[in-house]
Amino acid sequence: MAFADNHVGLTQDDEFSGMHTALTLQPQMADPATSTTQIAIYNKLVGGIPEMFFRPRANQTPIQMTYPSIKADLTTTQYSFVAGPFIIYGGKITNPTQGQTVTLTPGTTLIFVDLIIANSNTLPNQIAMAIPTNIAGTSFDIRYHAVITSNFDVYYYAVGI
Amino acid sequence: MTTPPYNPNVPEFPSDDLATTQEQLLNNFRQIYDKFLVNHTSLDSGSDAGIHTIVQLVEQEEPFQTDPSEISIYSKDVTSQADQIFLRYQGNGQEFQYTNYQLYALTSNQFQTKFFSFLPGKILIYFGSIFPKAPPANVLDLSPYISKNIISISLCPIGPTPGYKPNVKLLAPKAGVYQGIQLFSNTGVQQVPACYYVIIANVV
Repeated sequence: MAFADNHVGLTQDDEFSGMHTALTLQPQMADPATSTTQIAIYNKLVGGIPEMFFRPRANQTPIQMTYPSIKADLTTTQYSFVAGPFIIYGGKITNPTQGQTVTLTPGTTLIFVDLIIANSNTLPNQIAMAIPTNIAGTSFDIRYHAVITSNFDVYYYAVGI
Repeated sequence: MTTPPYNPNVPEFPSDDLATTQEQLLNNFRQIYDKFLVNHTSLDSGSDAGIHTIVQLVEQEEPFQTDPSEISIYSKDVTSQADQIFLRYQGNGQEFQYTNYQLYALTSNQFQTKFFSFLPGKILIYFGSIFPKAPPANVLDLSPYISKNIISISLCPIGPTPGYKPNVKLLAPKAGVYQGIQLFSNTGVQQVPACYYVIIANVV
């Protein structure tokens, strides 16, 4: 029974027997040691939540490879992550008011924010610019050039840690 | 000579006659050794015994179960893609696609250098630089053409003199897939400046 957990069983398809059906990782209390020819992938609790870690060769600094949640669909506000972890936010605000505050979730500290105006009725060749102001935590305000009045989108791209 | 298959019914009872079952017992131990050797360092390899050599994940049909404090990593088939790595959070929580599509070098041209990668969650990230000319060479190409939802756009003007950041307009998707983003000058008197760009998009 124990071998069949996570593995194709001894009496199953001989081509795959011994390979893995999944890797179910149970939390480790400490980072596993790695020799100069090894790497390790493992589960460690961060704030009580299991996360996948990668430890490079020779006991180098472990890297967190996952984040507790993700939102990726066809809606206008989403986030994912990259190793670190850093949270990558993206989304679209339609017809924001001047100075509108945008608060992103999940809560982090933003280290990068960029805005760009799209689909504006001032196109082409008229000034249409937006910048983030009052950046604090995961919030920022949208300030844009006054020539724009309606029917435009602001895309945001942000990174949090 | 191949080892006979593993027989889980040997031994079956404490009263089994060893003289009768010995051959199958030896076969079973041989099978255990051989199958454990798949993806793992062999049982007789000393201090490294039991460590994984590689991990081959056989395609799964359904999300894998996770108990509290566990994470599961497995592979599933994805329509229009090869098998991809999936993760599932603890307690049978959220499942998401960790790898996405396939990565290969894109062909750049004099107007655009192109790169792409992925983020967990079936998200593509396009990046590179664009050197716009007169239309239609002011269109930022989004190949490979698989993105169904543009999540965000970031442009940073580059070049010998400062320039306004362009504004943009999404070109209408073709068969539900976005293929390009049109860039416009923000002043009307200057050409659209060259820019570094980052585009994030869904392929769902």
